[in-house]
Amino acid sequence: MAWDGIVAVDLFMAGLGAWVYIYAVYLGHGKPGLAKAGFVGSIVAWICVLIGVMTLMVDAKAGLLHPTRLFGLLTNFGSVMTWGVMFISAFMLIVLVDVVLRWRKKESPLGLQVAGCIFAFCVSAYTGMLLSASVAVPLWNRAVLPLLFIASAACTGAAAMYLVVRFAEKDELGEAGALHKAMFWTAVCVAVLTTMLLVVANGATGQMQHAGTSAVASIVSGSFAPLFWVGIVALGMVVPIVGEGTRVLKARTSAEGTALVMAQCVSVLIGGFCLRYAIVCAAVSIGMLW
Amino acid sequence: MSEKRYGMLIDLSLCIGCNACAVACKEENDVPTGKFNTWVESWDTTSKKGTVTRAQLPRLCNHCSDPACVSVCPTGASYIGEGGIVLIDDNRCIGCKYCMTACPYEVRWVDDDAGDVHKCTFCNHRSQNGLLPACVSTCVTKARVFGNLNDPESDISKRIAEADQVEVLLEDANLEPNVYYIGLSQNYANGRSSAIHKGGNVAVAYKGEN
Repeated sequence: MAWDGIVAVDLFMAGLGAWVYIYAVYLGHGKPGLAKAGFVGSIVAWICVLIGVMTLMVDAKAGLLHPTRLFGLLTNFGSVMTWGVMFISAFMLIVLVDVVLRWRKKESPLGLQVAGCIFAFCVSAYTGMLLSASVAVPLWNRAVLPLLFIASAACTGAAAMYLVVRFAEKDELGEAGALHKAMFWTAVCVAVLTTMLLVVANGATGQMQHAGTSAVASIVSGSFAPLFWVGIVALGMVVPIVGEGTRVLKARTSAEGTALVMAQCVSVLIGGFCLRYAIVCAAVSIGMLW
Repeated sequence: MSEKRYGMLIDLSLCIGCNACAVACKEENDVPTGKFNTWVESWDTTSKKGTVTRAQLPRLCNHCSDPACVSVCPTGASYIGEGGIVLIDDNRCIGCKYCMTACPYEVRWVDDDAGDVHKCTFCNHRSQNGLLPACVSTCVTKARVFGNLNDPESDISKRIAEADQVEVLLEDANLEPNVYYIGLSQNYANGRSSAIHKGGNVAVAYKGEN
Protein backbone atom coordinates (compact mmCIF):
# COMPACT_ATOMS: atom_id res chain seq x y z
CA MET A 1 0.00 0.00 0.00
CA ALA A 2 1.01 3.60 -0.57
CA TRP A 3 0.61 4.42 3.11
CA ASP A 4 2.82 2.95 5.79
CA GLY A 5 3.75 3.31 9.44
CA ILE A 6 4.18 7.08 9.20
CA VAL A 7 0.48 7.47 8.51
CA ALA A 8 -0.23 5.14 11.45
CA VAL A 9 1.74 7.55 13.68
CA ASP A 10 -0.37 10.45 12.42
CA LEU A 11 -3.66 8.65 12.98
CA PHE A 12 -2.58 7.47 16.43
CA MET A 13 -1.30 10.82 17.67
CA ALA A 14 -4.27 12.78 16.33
CA GLY A 15 -6.82 10.47 17.96
CA LEU A 16 -4.84 10.28 21.19
CA GLY A 17 -4.41 14.04 21.49
CA ALA A 18 -8.07 14.67 20.68
CA TRP A 19 -9.30 12.49 23.51
CA VAL A 20 -6.70 13.70 26.00
CA TYR A 21 -8.23 17.14 25.53
CA ILE A 22 -11.77 15.82 26.08
CA TYR A 23 -10.72 14.15 29.33
CA ALA A 24 -8.67 17.19 30.35
CA VAL A 25 -11.69 19.46 29.97
CA TYR A 26 -13.94 17.00 31.78
CA LEU A 27 -11.58 16.52 34.71
CA GLY A 28 -10.61 20.19 34.83
CA HIS A 29 -14.25 21.19 35.29
CA GLY A 30 -15.70 18.16 37.08
CA LYS A 31 -12.95 17.71 39.64
CA PRO A 32 -11.78 20.94 41.30
CA GLY A 33 -8.60 19.24 42.51
CA LEU A 34 -7.58 18.36 38.97
CA ALA A 35 -7.53 21.85 37.46
CA LYS A 36 -3.78 21.75 37.01
CA ALA A 37 -3.92 18.29 35.41
CA GLY A 38 -6.63 19.59 33.10
CA PHE A 39 -4.40 22.44 32.04
CA VAL A 40 -1.34 20.23 31.50
CA GLY A 41 -3.53 17.69 29.67
CA SER A 42 -4.70 20.38 27.26
CA ILE A 43 -1.11 21.28 26.44
CA VAL A 44 -0.20 17.60 25.99
CA ALA A 45 -3.26 17.16 23.73
CA TRP A 46 -2.25 20.07 21.53
CA ILE A 47 1.32 18.79 21.22
CA CYS A 48 0.14 15.26 20.37
CA VAL A 49 -2.09 16.49 17.53
CA LEU A 50 0.71 18.77 16.34
CA ILE A 51 3.08 15.79 16.18
CA GLY A 52 0.44 13.95 14.13
CA VAL A 53 0.12 16.87 11.72
CA MET A 54 3.89 17.22 11.39
CA THR A 55 4.38 13.54 10.57
CA LEU A 56 1.77 13.81 7.82
CA MET A 57 3.43 16.93 6.42
CA VAL A 58 6.80 15.22 6.35
CA ASP A 59 5.22 12.24 4.57
CA ALA A 60 3.62 14.53 1.97
CA LYS A 61 6.98 15.43 0.46
CA ALA A 62 5.72 17.54 -2.45
CA GLY A 63 3.80 19.73 0.00
CA LEU A 64 6.83 19.96 2.25
CA LEU A 65 9.01 21.08 -0.67
CA HIS A 66 6.33 23.50 -1.89
CA PRO A 67 4.50 24.76 1.23
CA THR A 68 2.21 27.09 -0.71
CA ARG A 69 0.53 24.03 -2.20
CA LEU A 70 -0.77 23.20 1.29
CA PHE A 71 -3.28 26.05 0.94
CA GLY A 72 -4.92 23.87 -1.67
CA LEU A 73 -5.94 21.49 1.09
CA LEU A 74 -9.07 23.58 1.52
CA THR A 75 -10.30 23.34 -2.06
CA ASN A 76 -12.02 19.96 -2.40
CA PHE A 77 -14.68 19.81 0.30
CA GLY A 78 -15.73 16.38 -0.92
CA SER A 79 -12.43 14.92 0.29
CA VAL A 80 -12.35 13.40 3.77
CA MET A 81 -8.78 14.67 4.10
CA THR A 82 -10.04 18.22 3.63
CA TRP A 83 -12.59 17.63 6.41
CA GLY A 84 -9.71 16.47 8.57
CA VAL A 85 -7.69 19.58 7.80
CA MET A 86 -10.66 21.72 8.87
CA PHE A 87 -11.31 19.72 12.04
CA ILE A 88 -7.65 19.69 13.05
CA SER A 89 -7.15 23.38 12.26
CA ALA A 90 -10.21 24.34 14.33
CA PHE A 91 -9.10 22.07 17.16
CA MET A 92 -5.56 23.40 17.19
CA LEU A 93 -6.73 27.02 17.17
CA ILE A 94 -9.36 26.57 19.88
CA VAL A 95 -7.07 24.62 22.21
CA LEU A 96 -4.27 27.14 21.67
CA VAL A 97 -6.58 30.01 22.68
CA ASP A 98 -7.87 27.97 25.62
CA VAL A 99 -4.37 27.18 26.86
CA VAL A 100 -3.09 30.75 26.41
CA LEU A 101 -6.05 32.15 28.34
CA ARG A 102 -5.47 29.77 31.22
CA TRP A 103 -1.72 30.36 31.07
CA ARG A 104 -2.43 34.05 31.64
CA LYS A 105 -4.71 33.16 34.57
CA LYS A 106 -7.75 34.34 32.67
CA GLU A 107 -10.98 32.42 32.58
CA SER A 108 -11.43 30.31 29.49
CA PRO A 109 -15.07 30.30 28.35
CA LEU A 110 -16.78 26.97 28.80
CA GLY A 111 -18.26 27.35 25.34
CA LEU A 112 -14.76 27.53 23.87
CA GLN A 113 -13.76 24.32 25.61
CA VAL A 114 -16.97 22.56 24.58
CA ALA A 115 -16.29 23.61 20.99
CA GLY A 116 -12.77 22.23 21.39
CA CYS A 117 -14.21 18.92 22.60
CA ILE A 118 -16.60 18.74 19.66
CA PHE A 119 -13.77 19.28 17.20
CA ALA A 120 -11.64 16.82 19.17
CA PHE A 121 -14.31 14.18 18.68
CA CYS A 122 -14.48 15.06 14.98
CA VAL A 123 -10.69 14.66 14.70
CA SER A 124 -10.82 11.19 16.24
CA ALA A 125 -13.69 10.20 13.93
CA TYR A 126 -11.85 11.64 10.94
CA THR A 127 -8.85 9.34 11.47
CA GLY A 128 -11.09 6.36 10.76
CA MET A 129 -13.17 8.03 8.07
CA LEU A 130 -9.99 8.89 6.16
CA LEU A 131 -9.31 5.20 5.65
CA SER A 132 -12.90 4.06 5.31
CA ALA A 133 -13.40 6.33 2.27
CA SER A 134 -11.03 4.15 0.25
CA VAL A 135 -13.13 1.84 -1.94
CA ALA A 136 -10.01 -0.04 -2.99
CA VAL A 137 -9.32 -1.55 0.43
CA PRO A 138 -11.89 -3.94 1.93
CA LEU A 139 -10.22 -3.80 5.35
CA TRP A 140 -10.70 -0.02 5.47
CA ASN A 141 -13.89 0.51 3.50
CA ARG A 142 -16.09 -0.43 6.47
CA ALA A 143 -18.52 1.68 8.51
CA VAL A 144 -17.20 0.06 11.68
CA LEU A 145 -13.66 1.42 11.19
CA PRO A 146 -14.36 5.03 12.30
CA LEU A 147 -16.16 3.68 15.36
CA LEU A 148 -13.17 1.48 16.16
CA PHE A 149 -10.74 4.37 15.83
CA ILE A 150 -12.95 6.57 18.04
CA ALA A 151 -13.08 3.85 20.71
CA SER A 152 -9.34 3.26 20.48
CA ALA A 153 -8.61 6.99 20.66
CA ALA A 154 -10.87 7.25 23.72
CA CYS A 155 -9.03 4.33 25.33
CA THR A 156 -5.52 5.60 24.63
CA GLY A 157 -6.60 9.13 25.53
CA ALA A 158 -7.75 7.92 28.95
CA ALA A 159 -4.45 6.11 29.47
CA ALA A 160 -2.42 9.16 28.48
CA MET A 161 -4.55 11.43 30.66
CA TYR A 162 -4.01 9.12 33.62
CA LEU A 163 -0.26 9.50 33.15
CA VAL A 164 -0.72 13.29 32.97
CA VAL A 165 -2.62 13.27 36.28
CA ARG A 166 0.02 10.99 37.79
CA PHE A 167 2.81 13.40 36.95
CA ALA A 168 0.92 16.70 37.35
CA GLU A 169 -1.13 16.01 40.46
CA LYS A 170 -0.06 12.74 42.01
CA ASP A 171 -1.99 13.32 45.22
CA GLU A 172 -5.26 13.68 43.33
CA LEU A 173 -5.13 10.33 41.54
CA GLY A 174 -8.14 9.19 43.53
CA GLU A 175 -10.18 11.81 41.69
CA ALA A 176 -9.39 10.22 38.34
CA GLY A 177 -11.83 7.33 38.72
CA ALA A 178 -13.56 8.33 35.48
CA LEU A 179 -10.39 7.49 33.56
CA HIS A 180 -10.39 3.95 34.96
CA LYS A 181 -13.99 3.43 33.88
CA ALA A 182 -13.27 4.98 30.49
CA MET A 183 -10.27 2.73 29.93
CA PHE A 184 -12.24 -0.37 30.82
CA TRP A 185 -15.33 0.31 28.73
CA THR A 186 -13.50 1.70 25.72
CA ALA A 187 -11.16 -1.33 25.76
CA VAL A 188 -14.25 -3.55 25.69
CA CYS A 189 -15.54 -1.50 22.75
CA VAL A 190 -12.18 -1.82 20.97
CA ALA A 191 -12.29 -5.60 21.42
CA VAL A 192 -15.84 -5.86 20.06
CA LEU A 193 -15.28 -3.44 17.16
CA THR A 194 -11.95 -5.02 16.17
CA THR A 195 -13.67 -8.40 16.00
CA MET A 196 -16.47 -6.90 13.92
CA LEU A 197 -14.01 -5.26 11.53
CA LEU A 198 -12.10 -8.48 10.96
CA VAL A 199 -15.29 -10.48 10.49
CA VAL A 200 -16.83 -8.10 7.95
CA ALA A 201 -13.53 -7.65 6.07
CA ASN A 202 -13.06 -11.40 5.96
CA GLY A 203 -16.60 -11.74 4.64
CA ALA A 204 -15.98 -9.46 1.66
CA THR A 205 -17.51 -10.88 -1.47
CA GLY A 206 -16.96 -10.75 -5.22
CA GLN A 207 -13.83 -8.94 -6.38
CA MET A 208 -13.31 -7.62 -2.83
CA GLN A 209 -13.00 -11.11 -1.37
CA HIS A 210 -9.34 -11.83 -2.09
CA ALA A 211 -8.08 -8.54 -0.68
CA GLY A 212 -10.36 -8.77 2.36
CA THR A 213 -9.44 -12.31 3.34
CA SER A 214 -5.73 -11.76 2.59
CA ALA A 215 -5.58 -8.72 4.88
CA VAL A 216 -7.40 -10.47 7.71
CA ALA A 217 -5.24 -13.58 7.33
CA SER A 218 -2.04 -11.54 7.49
CA ILE A 219 -3.27 -9.87 10.68
CA VAL A 220 -4.61 -12.93 12.48
CA SER A 221 -2.20 -15.62 11.34
CA GLY A 222 0.33 -14.05 8.98
CA SER A 223 3.19 -11.60 9.23
CA PHE A 224 1.21 -9.22 11.45
CA ALA A 225 0.06 -11.95 13.85
CA PRO A 226 2.66 -11.24 16.59
CA LEU A 227 1.71 -7.56 16.46
CA PHE A 228 -1.98 -8.47 16.60
CA TRP A 229 -1.95 -11.05 19.38
CA VAL A 230 0.70 -9.45 21.59
CA GLY A 231 0.31 -5.76 20.80
CA ILE A 232 -3.36 -5.30 20.00
CA VAL A 233 -5.07 -8.12 21.88
CA ALA A 234 -2.83 -8.68 24.92
CA LEU A 235 -1.50 -5.17 25.55
CA GLY A 236 -4.34 -3.15 24.11
CA MET A 237 -7.36 -5.19 25.19
CA VAL A 238 -6.66 -7.89 27.78
CA VAL A 239 -4.43 -5.77 30.02
CA PRO A 240 -6.88 -2.86 30.46
CA ILE A 241 -9.96 -5.08 30.64
CA VAL A 242 -8.46 -7.45 33.21
CA GLY A 243 -6.60 -4.66 34.98
CA GLU A 244 -9.60 -2.41 35.38
CA GLY A 245 -11.95 -5.33 35.95
CA THR A 246 -9.78 -6.40 38.85
CA ARG A 247 -9.74 -2.90 40.27
CA VAL A 248 -13.50 -2.78 40.20
CA LEU A 249 -13.68 -5.96 42.26
CA LYS A 250 -11.08 -4.85 44.77
CA ALA A 251 -11.26 -1.84 47.03
CA ARG A 252 -9.76 1.04 45.12
CA THR A 253 -6.89 2.72 46.89
CA SER A 254 -4.97 5.26 44.91
CA ALA A 255 -1.64 4.58 46.55
CA GLU A 256 -1.40 0.88 45.96
CA GLY A 257 -1.00 -0.33 42.47
CA THR A 258 -0.27 3.09 40.96
CA ALA A 259 2.82 1.74 39.26
CA LEU A 260 0.76 -1.15 37.97
CA VAL A 261 -1.85 1.21 36.54
CA MET A 262 0.88 3.28 34.92
CA ALA A 263 2.27 0.15 33.31
CA GLN A 264 -1.26 -0.64 32.19
CA CYS A 265 -1.55 2.82 30.63
CA VAL A 266 1.71 2.36 28.73
CA SER A 267 0.39 -1.03 27.61
CA VAL A 268 -2.81 0.60 26.32
CA LEU A 269 -0.81 3.20 24.42
CA ILE A 270 1.33 0.52 22.77
CA GLY A 271 -1.78 -1.49 21.93
CA GLY A 272 -3.47 1.56 20.41
CA PHE A 273 -0.51 2.27 18.18
CA CYS A 274 -0.24 -1.39 17.14
CA LEU A 275 -3.90 -1.30 16.13
CA ARG A 276 -3.36 1.68 13.81
CA TYR A 277 -0.12 0.22 12.47
CA ALA A 278 -1.64 -3.17 11.66
CA ILE A 279 -4.74 -1.72 10.03
CA VAL A 280 -2.74 0.70 7.89
CA CYS A 281 0.10 -1.64 6.94
CA ALA A 282 -1.74 -4.96 6.59
CA ALA A 283 -4.30 -3.51 4.19
CA VAL A 284 -4.51 -5.13 0.76
CA SER A 285 -5.91 -3.34 -2.28
CA ILE A 286 -8.32 -5.10 -4.60
CA GLY A 287 -5.86 -4.12 -7.33
CA MET A 288 -3.85 -7.18 -6.29
CA LEU A 289 -5.76 -9.36 -8.71
CA TRP A 290 -4.31 -12.65 -7.55
CA MET B 1 -22.20 14.58 -31.40
CA SER B 2 -21.97 14.32 -27.63
CA GLU B 3 -18.93 15.32 -25.58
CA LYS B 4 -15.75 13.34 -26.16
CA ARG B 5 -15.02 10.45 -23.80
CA TYR B 6 -11.66 8.95 -24.50
CA GLY B 7 -11.07 5.30 -23.75
CA MET B 8 -8.92 2.34 -24.64
CA LEU B 9 -9.74 -1.19 -25.75
CA ILE B 10 -7.14 -3.91 -25.27
CA ASP B 11 -7.62 -7.17 -27.12
CA LEU B 12 -5.81 -9.70 -24.96
CA SER B 13 -5.94 -12.32 -27.70
CA LEU B 14 -3.63 -10.08 -29.75
CA CYS B 15 -1.25 -9.01 -26.97
CA ILE B 16 2.04 -10.91 -27.15
CA GLY B 17 3.57 -9.35 -24.03
CA CYS B 18 6.43 -7.73 -25.91
CA ASN B 19 6.38 -4.71 -23.56
CA ALA B 20 6.88 -2.32 -26.47
CA CYS B 21 3.98 -0.30 -25.05
CA ALA B 22 5.72 0.05 -21.68
CA VAL B 23 8.98 1.10 -23.32
CA ALA B 24 7.29 3.60 -25.66
CA CYS B 25 5.43 5.10 -22.72
CA LYS B 26 8.57 5.51 -20.65
CA GLU B 27 10.32 7.10 -23.61
CA GLU B 28 7.45 9.44 -24.44
CA ASN B 29 6.66 10.50 -20.88
CA ASP B 30 10.15 10.38 -19.37
CA VAL B 31 9.03 7.92 -16.71
CA PRO B 32 11.84 7.23 -14.19
CA THR B 33 13.51 3.86 -13.75
CA GLY B 34 11.39 1.48 -11.70
CA LYS B 35 8.16 3.44 -12.32
CA PHE B 36 5.53 2.66 -14.94
CA ASN B 37 2.51 4.44 -16.38
CA THR B 38 1.67 1.23 -18.19
CA TRP B 39 3.07 -2.27 -18.01
CA VAL B 40 2.23 -5.84 -18.98
CA GLU B 41 1.60 -8.56 -16.41
CA SER B 42 2.25 -12.08 -17.73
CA TRP B 43 1.63 -15.50 -16.27
CA ASP B 44 1.10 -19.09 -17.36
CA THR B 45 -2.23 -20.84 -17.30
CA THR B 46 -2.70 -24.58 -17.63
CA SER B 47 -5.88 -26.06 -19.03
CA LYS B 48 -7.45 -29.27 -17.74
CA LYS B 49 -5.87 -31.05 -20.73
CA GLY B 50 -2.46 -29.81 -19.64
CA THR B 51 -2.02 -27.21 -22.34
CA VAL B 52 0.06 -24.32 -21.09
CA THR B 53 -0.71 -20.87 -22.45
CA ARG B 54 0.64 -17.45 -21.63
CA ALA B 55 -1.81 -14.86 -20.32
CA GLN B 56 -1.03 -11.18 -20.83
CA LEU B 57 -2.64 -8.30 -19.02
CA PRO B 58 -1.59 -4.76 -19.95
CA ARG B 59 -2.32 -2.36 -17.09
CA LEU B 60 -2.71 1.42 -17.01
CA CYS B 61 -4.86 4.14 -15.50
CA ASN B 62 -8.48 3.29 -16.31
CA HIS B 63 -9.49 6.97 -16.61
CA CYS B 64 -12.70 6.25 -14.73
CA SER B 65 -15.77 8.40 -15.29
CA ASP B 66 -16.33 8.32 -11.53
CA PRO B 67 -12.72 8.25 -10.34
CA ALA B 68 -12.03 7.58 -6.67
CA CYS B 69 -8.68 9.37 -6.95
CA VAL B 70 -10.37 12.63 -7.93
CA SER B 71 -13.00 12.51 -5.22
CA VAL B 72 -10.46 11.92 -2.41
CA CYS B 73 -7.76 14.35 -3.61
CA PRO B 74 -7.76 17.11 -0.96
CA THR B 75 -6.11 19.76 -3.14
CA GLY B 76 -7.95 19.15 -6.39
CA ALA B 77 -4.66 18.19 -8.03
CA SER B 78 -6.35 15.11 -9.52
CA TYR B 79 -9.05 16.19 -11.90
CA ILE B 80 -10.98 15.13 -14.97
CA GLY B 81 -9.67 16.93 -18.02
CA GLU B 82 -10.93 17.33 -21.55
CA GLY B 83 -12.31 14.16 -23.04
CA GLY B 84 -12.74 12.60 -19.61
CA ILE B 85 -9.02 11.99 -19.20
CA VAL B 86 -8.01 11.86 -15.53
CA LEU B 87 -5.01 14.12 -14.98
CA ILE B 88 -2.80 15.38 -12.16
CA ASP B 89 -1.81 19.03 -11.83
CA ASP B 90 1.85 18.85 -10.83
CA ASN B 91 1.68 22.30 -9.28
CA ARG B 92 -1.09 21.35 -6.86
CA CYS B 93 -0.08 17.85 -5.76
CA ILE B 94 1.27 17.69 -2.18
CA GLY B 95 2.18 14.00 -2.38
CA CYS B 96 -0.19 12.86 0.37
CA LYS B 97 -0.78 9.64 -1.61
CA TYR B 98 -4.48 9.53 -0.69
CA CYS B 99 -5.26 9.03 -4.38
CA MET B 100 -2.97 6.00 -4.43
CA THR B 101 -4.83 4.35 -1.57
CA ALA B 102 -8.18 5.10 -3.21
CA CYS B 103 -7.35 3.84 -6.70
CA PRO B 104 -8.06 0.10 -6.95
CA TYR B 105 -6.03 -0.17 -10.16
CA GLU B 106 -2.76 0.72 -8.39
CA VAL B 107 -1.51 2.67 -11.38
CA ARG B 108 -0.11 5.75 -9.67
CA TRP B 109 3.45 6.26 -8.56
CA VAL B 110 5.41 8.79 -6.54
CA ASP B 111 8.37 10.69 -7.92
CA ASP B 112 11.07 9.89 -5.38
CA ASP B 113 12.76 13.26 -5.80
CA ALA B 114 9.85 15.69 -6.11
CA GLY B 115 7.40 13.71 -4.00
CA ASP B 116 4.45 14.31 -6.31
CA VAL B 117 2.26 11.62 -7.86
CA HIS B 118 2.15 10.66 -11.54
CA LYS B 119 0.32 8.22 -13.80
CA CYS B 120 -0.85 7.55 -17.37
CA THR B 121 -2.43 10.57 -19.06
CA PHE B 122 -3.45 8.78 -22.26
CA CYS B 123 -0.50 10.86 -23.56
CA ASN B 124 -2.67 13.95 -23.15
CA HIS B 125 -0.14 16.14 -25.00
CA ARG B 126 -0.54 13.85 -28.01
CA SER B 127 -4.19 12.79 -27.82
CA GLN B 128 -5.50 16.36 -27.51
CA ASN B 129 -3.67 17.09 -30.77
CA GLY B 130 -5.11 14.23 -32.74
CA LEU B 131 -2.27 11.79 -32.14
CA LEU B 132 -2.52 8.38 -30.54
CA PRO B 133 -1.00 7.64 -27.13
CA ALA B 134 2.55 6.28 -27.51
CA CYS B 135 1.58 2.81 -26.27
CA VAL B 136 -1.14 2.55 -28.91
CA SER B 137 0.86 3.84 -31.83
CA THR B 138 3.74 1.49 -31.04
CA CYS B 139 1.69 -1.68 -30.42
CA VAL B 140 2.93 -4.18 -33.00
CA THR B 141 -0.23 -6.31 -33.03
CA LYS B 142 -2.72 -3.44 -32.74
CA ALA B 143 -3.94 -4.96 -29.50
CA ARG B 144 -4.49 -1.49 -28.10
CA VAL B 145 -7.15 0.75 -29.65
CA PHE B 146 -7.70 4.32 -28.50
CA GLY B 147 -10.44 6.75 -29.32
CA ASN B 148 -13.66 8.54 -28.51
CA LEU B 149 -16.14 6.14 -26.94
CA ASN B 150 -18.99 8.57 -27.59
CA ASP B 151 -18.35 8.54 -31.34
CA PRO B 152 -19.95 5.44 -32.89
CA GLU B 153 -17.73 5.86 -35.96
CA SER B 154 -14.46 5.77 -34.01
CA ASP B 155 -12.22 2.71 -34.28
CA ILE B 156 -12.67 1.86 -30.64
CA SER B 157 -16.46 2.06 -30.78
CA LYS B 158 -16.52 -0.17 -33.85
CA ARG B 159 -14.20 -2.74 -32.27
CA ILE B 160 -16.32 -2.80 -29.12
CA ALA B 161 -19.49 -3.18 -31.16
CA GLU B 162 -17.99 -6.07 -33.14
CA ALA B 163 -16.64 -7.92 -30.10
CA ASP B 164 -18.57 -10.79 -28.55
CA GLN B 165 -17.77 -9.56 -25.09
CA VAL B 166 -15.89 -6.63 -23.62
CA GLU B 167 -15.09 -6.40 -19.93
CA VAL B 168 -13.48 -4.01 -17.48
CA LEU B 169 -11.15 -4.67 -14.58
CA LEU B 170 -12.62 -4.59 -11.08
CA GLU B 171 -16.18 -3.90 -12.13
CA ASP B 172 -17.33 -4.26 -8.50
CA ALA B 173 -15.54 -1.02 -7.60
CA ASN B 174 -18.24 0.85 -9.60
CA LEU B 175 -15.87 3.52 -10.85
CA GLU B 176 -16.98 3.34 -14.49
CA PRO B 177 -13.54 2.65 -15.98
CA ASN B 178 -12.89 3.59 -19.61
CA VAL B 179 -10.31 0.90 -20.35
CA TYR B 180 -11.97 -2.17 -21.82
CA TYR B 181 -10.61 -5.64 -22.43
CA ILE B 182 -11.45 -8.42 -24.85
CA GLY B 183 -10.67 -11.86 -23.43
CA LEU B 184 -10.34 -10.87 -19.79
CA SER B 185 -12.40 -13.78 -18.43
CA GLN B 186 -10.40 -16.25 -20.52
CA ASN B 187 -7.24 -14.97 -18.85
CA TYR B 188 -8.53 -16.12 -15.50
CA ALA B 189 -10.52 -19.19 -16.56
CA ASN B 190 -7.79 -21.74 -15.88
CA GLY B 191 -6.16 -20.11 -12.90
CA ARG B 192 -2.46 -19.42 -12.67
CA SER B 193 0.40 -21.91 -12.90
CA SER B 194 3.39 -19.58 -12.68
CA ALA B 195 4.60 -16.40 -11.07
CA ILE B 196 3.25 -13.10 -12.39
CA HIS B 197 5.92 -11.29 -14.36
CA LYS B 198 6.09 -7.57 -14.86
CA GLY B 199 8.60 -6.43 -17.43
CA GLY B 200 10.41 -9.74 -17.21
CA ASN B 201 10.74 -9.64 -13.41
CA VAL B 202 8.73 -11.65 -10.92
CA ALA B 203 6.07 -9.37 -9.46
CA VAL B 204 4.03 -12.00 -7.60
CA ALA B 205 5.62 -15.33 -6.70
CA TYR B 206 3.92 -18.61 -7.50
CA LYS B 207 3.13 -20.69 -4.43
CA GLY B 208 1.59 -23.67 -6.14
CA GLU B 209 -2.03 -22.65 -5.95
CA ASN B 210 -4.22 -20.72 -8.34
